[in-house]
Amino acid sequence: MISIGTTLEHELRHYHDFLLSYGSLHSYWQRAQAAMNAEPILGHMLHDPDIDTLVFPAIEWARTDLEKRRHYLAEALGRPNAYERAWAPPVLEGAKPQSSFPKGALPLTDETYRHSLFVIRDQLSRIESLRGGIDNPQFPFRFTPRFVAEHSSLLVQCASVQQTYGFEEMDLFMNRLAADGSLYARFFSGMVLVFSGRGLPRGRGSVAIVETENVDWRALGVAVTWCFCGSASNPELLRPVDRMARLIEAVVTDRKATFPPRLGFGDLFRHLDKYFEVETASAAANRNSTSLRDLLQRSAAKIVSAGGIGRQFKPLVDVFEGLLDERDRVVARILEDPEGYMDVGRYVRALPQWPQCPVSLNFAPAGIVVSKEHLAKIGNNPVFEDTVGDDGKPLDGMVVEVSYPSFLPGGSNFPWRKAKDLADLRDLFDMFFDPQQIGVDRENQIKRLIAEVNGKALVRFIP
Amino acid sequence: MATLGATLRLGFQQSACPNTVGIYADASGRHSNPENQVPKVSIIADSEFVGALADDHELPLTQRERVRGTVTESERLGFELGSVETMIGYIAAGIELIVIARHLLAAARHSSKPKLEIASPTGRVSVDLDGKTDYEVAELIKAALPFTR
Repeated sequence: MISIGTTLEHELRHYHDFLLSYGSLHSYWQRAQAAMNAEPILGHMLHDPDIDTLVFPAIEWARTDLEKRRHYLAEALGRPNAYERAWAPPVLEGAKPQSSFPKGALPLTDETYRHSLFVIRDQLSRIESLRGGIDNPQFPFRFTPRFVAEHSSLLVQCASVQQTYGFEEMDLFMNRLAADGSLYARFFSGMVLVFSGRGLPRGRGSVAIVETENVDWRALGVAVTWCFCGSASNPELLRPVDRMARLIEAVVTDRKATFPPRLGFGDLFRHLDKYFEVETASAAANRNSTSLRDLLQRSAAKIVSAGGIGRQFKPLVDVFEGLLDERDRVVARILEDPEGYMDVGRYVRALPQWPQCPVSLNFAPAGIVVSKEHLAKIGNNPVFEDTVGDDGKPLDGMVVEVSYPSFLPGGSNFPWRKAKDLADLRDLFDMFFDPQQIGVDRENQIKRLIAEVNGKALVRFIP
Repeated sequence: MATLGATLRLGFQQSACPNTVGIYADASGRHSNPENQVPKVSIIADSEFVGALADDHELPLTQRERVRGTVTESERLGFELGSVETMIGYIAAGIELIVIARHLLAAARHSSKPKLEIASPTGRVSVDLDGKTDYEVAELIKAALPFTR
């Protein structure tokens, strides 16, 4: 209950860290572009009446020669001619294309197909490299960017638990995290120990018990915010994981030098910039904003030049532009009052005034409907998705899905409707091109939907 | 328009194709199982588990390979980075599920994290083996291995 009751603060912090971090937005745009490039292929896969079997992951399938494909499907499906009606992309081999957007309109030719697949392959490779983290067995911790993000949100959640329920509950919450044993909880507990000057946990994976009165909230709040403020001016300290690793090393070696006592939040942050010889937060923020806007402008220009096929992707450009506008709001607020972000207690108290994240609730996976009246009470300006029941008739006063521009008064300028409309494209892109992103339940749901709606079966290719 | 079935919203319309859900199962709900069908399967689990499978010479999985897991798989399964592996191999048609289940349970005894994902070309499930009997495990992995008995 304590955890669920403070989930909103946890998730909002994710949103703000996402907007603050150059890497997150860059990675987001890489995926969006890959999905744009995949859209014509996905459309062909789903609508071609001569195809009844779709094979994923698409790139690995495309890289397989025809003989191996026939053999694989014959083995997999128990029919020697199983390949005849399967999705059959041109075999991906040969030289890499020069430009990054297929020219020419649909229908897809072999050339544009191959071109697109090459580009998507390279984009996925870049995205995969952004997921990597610290994976050195000699280092006391192994973690990815996601760990740093969860650490930040758990920190905020601790403050929220304290303010909502009390100090005892916060104590309980933190010690439950330490005992939880899950990846992010263990990392969080480890960081609390390290940055509070309690040393390293005993042995990899051991439980770190925390005395909450000894937690150094200042060091923790400054450290994790500093992690998200890297820029390309210092490539080795651009990524949050590299910044976090450097901080851990420094704190373990000489905590007093890394986190001098008696410095306030803002002064401590500036101290870290000097200590690690990186550019200031405001310079980094400006550099990152310029770089991200440049990405946007270049992509927007390419899409316009692609004519008809490009116009359908304008909503994606609008969504990314909306994110960058929201980023500007968040960054401006942090630069004006850094302590308001790094002091998680202050951050939680002022959360209703921060730019908000649109929220969408979908109860369909749980198989339930909820009354509009009830949903109207729990958030501002709900937008209900008209819902039909299993009998195909509209439901009266009940829905499976609702969206809110924001739960809290801070409001959002983000074009969330366009983002929501594009969610299917992203899901389909993940399913066929990056299926490791898709959990078991979602995969089975997508398979069922494609079978029902498009009449096609999905087959996993295990190389 | 949303439905209880949570359909994809982006206007992907009904195809003119005949319904091919039958590719997964015949009328009895079981996959057709001709003698020449030898599907490839993958088992994602932690290294101790996969190591135990690799050492199990009686496991009915041929041409086995071990592949290091990705960061995303580690995060998805909740395992330590660098501790996830995938075992890939061929299961002969007609193998009984209960046999596979028993081998999985035996391997699980060597691991502190007896959780795995098992997938074949036409199915995928995530299973936590902790506290399960062989019959329970067989029932759980059935959806991933529809070509077995």
